[in-house]
Amino acid sequence: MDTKKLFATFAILIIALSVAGFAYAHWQKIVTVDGTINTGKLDLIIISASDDDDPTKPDPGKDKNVADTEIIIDPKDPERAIVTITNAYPSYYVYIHVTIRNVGTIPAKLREIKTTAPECIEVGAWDHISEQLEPYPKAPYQSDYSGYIHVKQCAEKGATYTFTIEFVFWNWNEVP
Amino acid sequence: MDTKKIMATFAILIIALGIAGFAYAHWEKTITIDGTITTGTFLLTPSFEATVIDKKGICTVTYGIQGDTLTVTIDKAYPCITVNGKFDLKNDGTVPAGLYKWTISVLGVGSLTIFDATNIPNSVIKPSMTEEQVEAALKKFVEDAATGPAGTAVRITIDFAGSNFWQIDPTKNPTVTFNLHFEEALLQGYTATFSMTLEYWNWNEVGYL
Repeated sequence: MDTKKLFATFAILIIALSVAGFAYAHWQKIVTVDGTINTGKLDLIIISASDDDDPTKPDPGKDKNVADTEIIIDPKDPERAIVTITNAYPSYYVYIHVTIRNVGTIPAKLREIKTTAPECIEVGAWDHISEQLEPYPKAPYQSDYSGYIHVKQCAEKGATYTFTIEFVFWNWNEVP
Repeated sequence: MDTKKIMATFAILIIALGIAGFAYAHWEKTITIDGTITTGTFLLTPSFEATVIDKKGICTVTYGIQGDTLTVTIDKAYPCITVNGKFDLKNDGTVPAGLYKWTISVLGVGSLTIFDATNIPNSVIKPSMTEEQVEAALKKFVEDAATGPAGTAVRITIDFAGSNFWQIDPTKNPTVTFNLHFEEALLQGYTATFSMTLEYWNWNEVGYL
């Protein structure tokens, strides 16, 4: 290796080291922003449930006490109510009522009510679509929702039918 | 693929994801009401018994029930004998029953309506009648029906004894007794065949209860 090449290699090395030295030699101060986001909670429960078929009085709209309706809040799940109708007959109908409270931390809006029932059972629920419930205890934090069950003429004797009513709530800002 | 196409694809993907993100971003809570409906049962069971008062033991009455059908045969009837009968209808179901239609079809005569819930004014018996009025109306109906080929051939007495056949509640079994006496005008070698039908509905649908 000749003298010129050696000199060039040395020069490059010096430049490289100086560049590296500059990079490591600067002073710095880092300002940090640590963030924590706690999201809200969408939570609603049923706080009371009732029906309009008094077991000590004639069936609604009838002159005899034949069928019975019982509605309870599921002891294992307050988001669910259980309706049991016994000894029903064609034309029997009953209204059920639940009070739903917003126990979350953000407002909730009722987006839709879904019902499923067999052909011979009519189930209806229609109240309060798009109604907003504020987080408890800011009013209005709860509302009463009703459903209607009607045994139609095609219902069979000694049969068992099931139905479901679902009140679907979304965070309020997503419901038109 | 040139740069413009890549950019366009990327932009579309970002927009699509944004839209999807918006649609799926809601929080949801569903309150559910689950229901079970058990319907009642509707079952009426007829029963019948009859005896013949015939000192010579010539006339006989036989009867049987198959399903909902009661068949009664009075054989070798002749003037002056009497047939006593008792009919009851028990509600073995869980829902009250209401009488909707009561018809009798007599061979050679046709179908006669004793009661029709859709045509009460023209019915032989009416819910507004007293028990005695119902018994009298039925008596007249039977005796008039027997008048014809047989002439005034029978006399009948009917007694509901407080039973209510209009509406039969579960476990109840209203009873009616009758006494059928064959008169002198009874034709020889004559056969009368009839079929009686009692149609019951769940009480709340008959319209008059």
